Amino acid sequence: MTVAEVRTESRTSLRNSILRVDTIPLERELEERLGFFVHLRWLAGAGILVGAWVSIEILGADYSYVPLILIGTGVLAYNGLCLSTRRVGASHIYAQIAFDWVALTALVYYTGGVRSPVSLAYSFHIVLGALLLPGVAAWLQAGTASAVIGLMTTAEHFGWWLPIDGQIGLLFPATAHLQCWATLTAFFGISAYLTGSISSALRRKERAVADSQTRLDLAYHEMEALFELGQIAHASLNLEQVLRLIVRRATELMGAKGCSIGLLDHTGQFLEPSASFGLSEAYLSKGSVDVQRSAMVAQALAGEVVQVQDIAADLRLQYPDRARAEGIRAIVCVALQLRSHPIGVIRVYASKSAPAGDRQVAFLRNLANLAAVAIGSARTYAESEALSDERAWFARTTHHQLQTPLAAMVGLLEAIPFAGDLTPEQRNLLLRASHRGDELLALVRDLLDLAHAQRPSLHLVPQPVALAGTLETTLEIQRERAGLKGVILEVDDLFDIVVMADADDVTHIFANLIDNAVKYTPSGGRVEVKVSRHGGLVGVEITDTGIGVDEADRERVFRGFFRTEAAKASGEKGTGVGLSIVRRLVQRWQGHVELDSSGGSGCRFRVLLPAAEEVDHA
Amino acid sequence: MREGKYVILCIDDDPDIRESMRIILSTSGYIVNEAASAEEGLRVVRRDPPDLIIVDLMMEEIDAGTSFVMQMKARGNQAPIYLLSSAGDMLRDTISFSDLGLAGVFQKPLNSKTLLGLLQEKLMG
Repeated sequence: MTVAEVRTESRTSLRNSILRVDTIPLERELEERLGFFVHLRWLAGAGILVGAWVSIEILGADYSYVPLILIGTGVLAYNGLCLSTRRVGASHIYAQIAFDWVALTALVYYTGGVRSPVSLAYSFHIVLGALLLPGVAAWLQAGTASAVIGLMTTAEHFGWWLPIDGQIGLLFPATAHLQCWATLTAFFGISAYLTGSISSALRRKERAVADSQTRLDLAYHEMEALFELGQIAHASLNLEQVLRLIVRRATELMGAKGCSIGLLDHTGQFLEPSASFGLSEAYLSKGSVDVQRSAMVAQALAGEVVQVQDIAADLRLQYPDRARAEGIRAIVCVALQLRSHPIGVIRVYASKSAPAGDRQVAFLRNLANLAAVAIGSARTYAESEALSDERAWFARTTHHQLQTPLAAMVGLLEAIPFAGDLTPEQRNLLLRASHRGDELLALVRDLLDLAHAQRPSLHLVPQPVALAGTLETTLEIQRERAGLKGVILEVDDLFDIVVMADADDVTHIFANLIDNAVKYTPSGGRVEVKVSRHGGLVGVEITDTGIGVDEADRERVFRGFFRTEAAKASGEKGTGVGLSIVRRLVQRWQGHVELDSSGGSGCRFRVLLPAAEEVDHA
Repeated sequence: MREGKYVILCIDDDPDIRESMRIILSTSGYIVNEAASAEEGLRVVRRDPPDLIIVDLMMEEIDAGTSFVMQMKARGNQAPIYLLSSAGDMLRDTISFSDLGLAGVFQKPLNSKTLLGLLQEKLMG
């Protein structure tokens, strides 16, 4: 997985998690909070048991232990059961609430009926319900409490059930049943109202905060995506990759079904598909869009932000049936403008009929601008590359056209003495003509090298270059030359030596340096090529026992069109540009070339080039 | 060998190059066969097996010389083959010259001294 993919992955999961927070159902929140109260209910069960003991033993109430202990242990038992259940579902919670009501009502009965202070405990349920349950539930609980109290009051009033009177302080006198019911009902109602209104206000605020958080997160991710795409659009020369990323980000961040970019063809009449995301092959197979038949595209190209909110009712599409079959219901379409001229459109497709908001439209316009920048860069690059290719082709062809007849001419001049006897003067003239031919050939070759060295550096990407394979022909040619000249050429084993450069450049560099070494080393001399590694660099040393370069000329030989006196006197042909080309080619790959010579005792050229990372020999 | 002389095959699409080599070699005591293309070269080899072959790397087709060498190798050729290349020739980088079993590679133009020295060394040395 690449770094970019990892970043994409993490961003997507982050976005998903934000959406998850946004869509947590209230029920889940309720479950979580009630789950916490399940733990606290141990206190309720224990409280009943302790309360019973305090009332009977300390306050001297005339209650019976047995029912109170049964209620207390019952509460403990069902709470224990709920606690042991691994997953607390909504049904558990409602069952528990029902049990609570039954236990509380029993407790009220055994502690003096409706007039017992325990009846106030219904308000705990009302308050909790109002806090945790939706608004209606609070009123439902208050109503239920009021009804239960009302039923008990009626039953007590008519003597249908006679609660246990503990003979301790009750809330109301024995005869005041109606006042008791009315007061408790008012108490419960006010509790439900106050708690419910506070809780719903809090909930509204909470929702507003969550909404702002989501919006902020989305805006942050939009900005981050724009920044990332901006960087890529400026830096990457791979247009296809940039456009693919743009349509993907547009789809993700606008929560859309898909997105596509179409570019105008050279006639300006048809929109050709260029990149898409989230759309099926079947839909994409519809091919190009005729601008005159798609009012949506025509309007967008004219500079409008076009929103098709319901494709079934909108007549501006060229292929409405295809879009419907694809599950597209709405489209937003914006033009891509390059130097104020429309070059295509970006379209975002939604599966619901809803207009895009202002923020989304602004985001889409930014994406459209980025896409246009990327396309502009890619086009400029392609034009410059074509120009560079044309130039290289021209240089090569010219070189071939010049070199072929020249080489043939030099060959024919060579053959003349073999065709018949010549006078000494004729022989002398022929030799001079042959030398001038050689000079011209050398010039043509150096000019080719110069043209090669002047390739624009924009198009250069370092590649691993194995010296052994790349220099094989060069070394073979030089070996033959050296052998015929009587010069010993020794080359280190180049196996495993890989530099980061360009194969053509590497050939030019070493062909030139070894050619010079052999050329300027007299018969019986020696040329050595040694390689070594220095951290991240590969060092190649070419040492000869030739005519050498004086200290004063050591820098000048790299400047171009300069030959040392010794070189001119040697009778060898040359134009003096070779070493300047070598330096240019070496520096192009962040390398370095230097000459060590004190004249007369040969030269040592040292070339340093970046080494390639570990190479797989498999 | 024919009539006590070594047979040299020169393959080059440039008639002037062939002509100059023919004059130099025939006056130096060699029999020279010529071919203007790799295909013609293969036919001449069959008709009159040479003792040494000099072939141009780039003829009508890029890399024609290399293809010729590969076909000769496939036919179990024993005669030494020298390849002539020009500066700036495009080489097929998938081909290793040592794998072709070449006797050597020279840069054009090949001067008479080099050429005759080479034949002397290879055939008589």
